[in-house]
Amino acid sequence: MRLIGKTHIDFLSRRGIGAMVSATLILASIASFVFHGGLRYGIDFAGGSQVIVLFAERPDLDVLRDTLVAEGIEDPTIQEFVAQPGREEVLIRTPLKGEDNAGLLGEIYSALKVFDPRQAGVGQELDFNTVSREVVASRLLAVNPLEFNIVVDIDDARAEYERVADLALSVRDQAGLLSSWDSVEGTGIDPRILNWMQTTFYFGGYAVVGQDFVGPQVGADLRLQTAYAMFWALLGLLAYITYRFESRFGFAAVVALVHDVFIAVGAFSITDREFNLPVVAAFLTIVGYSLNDTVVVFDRIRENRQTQRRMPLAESINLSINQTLSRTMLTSGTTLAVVLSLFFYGGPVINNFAFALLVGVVVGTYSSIFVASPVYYELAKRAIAKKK
Amino acid sequence: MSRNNLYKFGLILAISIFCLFLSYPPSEQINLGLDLRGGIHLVLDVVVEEAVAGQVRTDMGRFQDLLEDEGVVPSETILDSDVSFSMTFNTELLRDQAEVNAINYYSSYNVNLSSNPPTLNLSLDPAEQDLAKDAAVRQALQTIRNRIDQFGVAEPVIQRQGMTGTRILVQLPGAEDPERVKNLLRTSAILQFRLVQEGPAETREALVAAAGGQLPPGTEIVESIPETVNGIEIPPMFYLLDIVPIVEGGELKDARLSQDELGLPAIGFTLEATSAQKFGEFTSTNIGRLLAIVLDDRVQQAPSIQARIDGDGIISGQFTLEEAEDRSLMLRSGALPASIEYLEDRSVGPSLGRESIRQGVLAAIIGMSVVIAFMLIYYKGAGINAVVALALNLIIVMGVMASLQATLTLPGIAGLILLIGMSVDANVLIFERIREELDLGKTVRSSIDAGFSKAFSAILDANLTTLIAAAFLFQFGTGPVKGFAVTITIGIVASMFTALFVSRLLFAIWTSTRRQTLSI
Repeated sequence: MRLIGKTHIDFLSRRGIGAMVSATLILASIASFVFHGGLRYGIDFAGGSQVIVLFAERPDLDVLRDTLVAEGIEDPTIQEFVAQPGREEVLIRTPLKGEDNAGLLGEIYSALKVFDPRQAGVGQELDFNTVSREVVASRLLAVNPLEFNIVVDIDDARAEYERVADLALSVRDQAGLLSSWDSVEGTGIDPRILNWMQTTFYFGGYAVVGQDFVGPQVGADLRLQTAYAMFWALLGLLAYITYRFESRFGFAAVVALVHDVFIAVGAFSITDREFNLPVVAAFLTIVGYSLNDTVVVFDRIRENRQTQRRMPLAESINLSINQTLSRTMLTSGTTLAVVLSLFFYGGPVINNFAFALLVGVVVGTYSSIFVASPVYYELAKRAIAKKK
Repeated sequence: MSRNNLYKFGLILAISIFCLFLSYPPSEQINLGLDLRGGIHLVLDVVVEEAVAGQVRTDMGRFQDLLEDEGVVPSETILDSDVSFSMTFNTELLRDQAEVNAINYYSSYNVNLSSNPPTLNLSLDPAEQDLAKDAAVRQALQTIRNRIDQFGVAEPVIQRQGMTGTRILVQLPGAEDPERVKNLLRTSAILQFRLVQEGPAETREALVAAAGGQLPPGTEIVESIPETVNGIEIPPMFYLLDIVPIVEGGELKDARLSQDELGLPAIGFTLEATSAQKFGEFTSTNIGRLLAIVLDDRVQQAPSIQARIDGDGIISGQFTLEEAEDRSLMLRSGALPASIEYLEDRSVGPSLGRESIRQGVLAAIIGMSVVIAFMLIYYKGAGINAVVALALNLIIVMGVMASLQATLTLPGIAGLILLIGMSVDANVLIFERIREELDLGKTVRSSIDAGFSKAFSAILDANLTTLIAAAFLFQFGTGPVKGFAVTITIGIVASMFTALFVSRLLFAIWTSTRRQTLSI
């Protein structure tokens, strides 16, 4: 099967269209950048604290926000992270505030306790969904439902109660959040302990399943490191291409790379997506991928220039692009397929990362044909004219 | 099949079985990152300036005691800054005697003299300050390591970031309750037994008045912890204590959870033999006086000395069971030389990690099915070749990751998925080249040879550029991003091997059956 047979598309003479498209995209990126006042940095770069909260029922986000503000949390950002029946996750983020940030996470925890619509029954003082293993173990030891002789068998008692606490809470942790004792009962815990648990604990309506705190210094360091990494990666790639090909290829390839990264960053600004550390990783991957694509075309140009020395420059470049076109489409197609799968099914944690790759694959493919090759053409044309 | 091809086939089979063996079962052999497995990731900073200041303060008190023993009593002693202190004397002769002592016993200090009034100034040498800072970080590292060991977390990572840095990275896979862990690590746990000179008093002013309007040299005021008795909160009391402790936490042989006479949780302790002797002598000569037990600069309790106390005792003072347990753990594992600040805290619960794995696997299966279907439809027989290469690729990546003990993170899974799409590239390059050669009317065998040799330079250059980008990623990345760089790097190398070696062999086996057609 062949998607495209032998093609004879004159890509180079359509380079004006390419230039227009690229210019439009870049201008849109700049405009959006100015309009949004830069990128929306994620917690990695901006610092602050962030928790992912799993709720038993879909929470009213407005009420949640009001509660947080009423509890003294300044400027919280609340975002639906996952909204599936049975898995309602909300992301709460608060910015850094001046010098002392140590208590940021603690404040969110206490505000959540206030927000929780489920309250304890009579005598039920602890929330099973947020209690820690140590508390359960030490309570068990104090209450001693298995009636160990504490004076003699303190070590055995402690070991047994720690084991039971771990067993019961592992069930909870695997589920994230429990609403009934069914699954805990299923572990075969001693009925005396279960009975004590049922009277002591209630099921709160939420659990914090992930927390992040990034201090101001770490964020600043990361921004600097990222800039360095991008700079050195581009320089390293430029050096490699110049070594393997000639400097005109190297220059053209780097123009295409900068073009791609620019548009990818612009896409983040336009869609107002969060720019975080994995996104930078995606950008560096885009750089690698885009170059990969460009190199395949350049490799063909280099080959055709050597084997058919009489062929005019433009014709040779066009021939090379056409010869590699079906490969370009195929590889982009399979890569796009996996990236789309990542984008739609990969989950919320890496959604922005997948988005960056998605933009990168499309732009990277486009740029090797409509940016890298024309730039090389212009450079080589001038060099040939000079020689004559 | 020729003998040569048979060897190659055997080699490939052996590699696949070996990699499968290494990585099976994946749930045990593949090291999962904190983002997938759940756990606590902390970066903390040791406030080293505090450690230096603490050392200067202790040295000042010790020097004062030394001078008093020699009969060279300063009229005033004050801390000038975190790194220096001054002593004023009534005569220049006394000052000069003090100077001799300072030079003999405190050589890490720079000594300056001034007259009017005769003053001796000692400031800690900058090189010594650096040593003290470095020692503080190393001690903090050791203390944190001890505490985590005692806390019982499997495979913790506790590292100093950089050779001279003040930051410490702590990773605790599978640990929960980050707030408790943070408290456990942050608490200084500095225990001191100090003699009470005056007090308790209800206010600072009352205490100063009781001491005669002025603090005697070598003493300072310390607050007690606020207590709650029968639900009524009693405000903290003030004590005037000797700066130099009788015994310190570092001299403990053991600390453990215990009970006081009322059966409430308390901390039991045992002193080292030499300290026990010193403590015994001290208590026997000070019967009837108050002994303050100071924990982290707060008086925990101040009982009067009833009799000689040797090596053992308990500290009570309104602990919960959990507090008493944690405190004794801290005392056993040593004190922090300075306070610590948390720069970063990233904790993932196991349910979030599990959800991430589920979604990652789903995305991988969908992406892989699409790619496999596409390759089979598009390249027919040769497509099988590409699919075999793809499968082998994944097996090799898992095997290498297992044997290198590399960590698989969520971006790492994304890297694997991306790899599924990208690694067919080498095969696509070869297949397209073979098709071109076939179109030129060449025979199957020579088309295959030409296809491989002509595609080689493009494959090499294209993959090396991606490798270079991945190398920079690895350099710069932290945990999750590093995991991405690792899978991409291993995957690219593996895909070059499978495309150039395995695919080639499969074609060779195909043509050796003397078929003159090629399904491509």
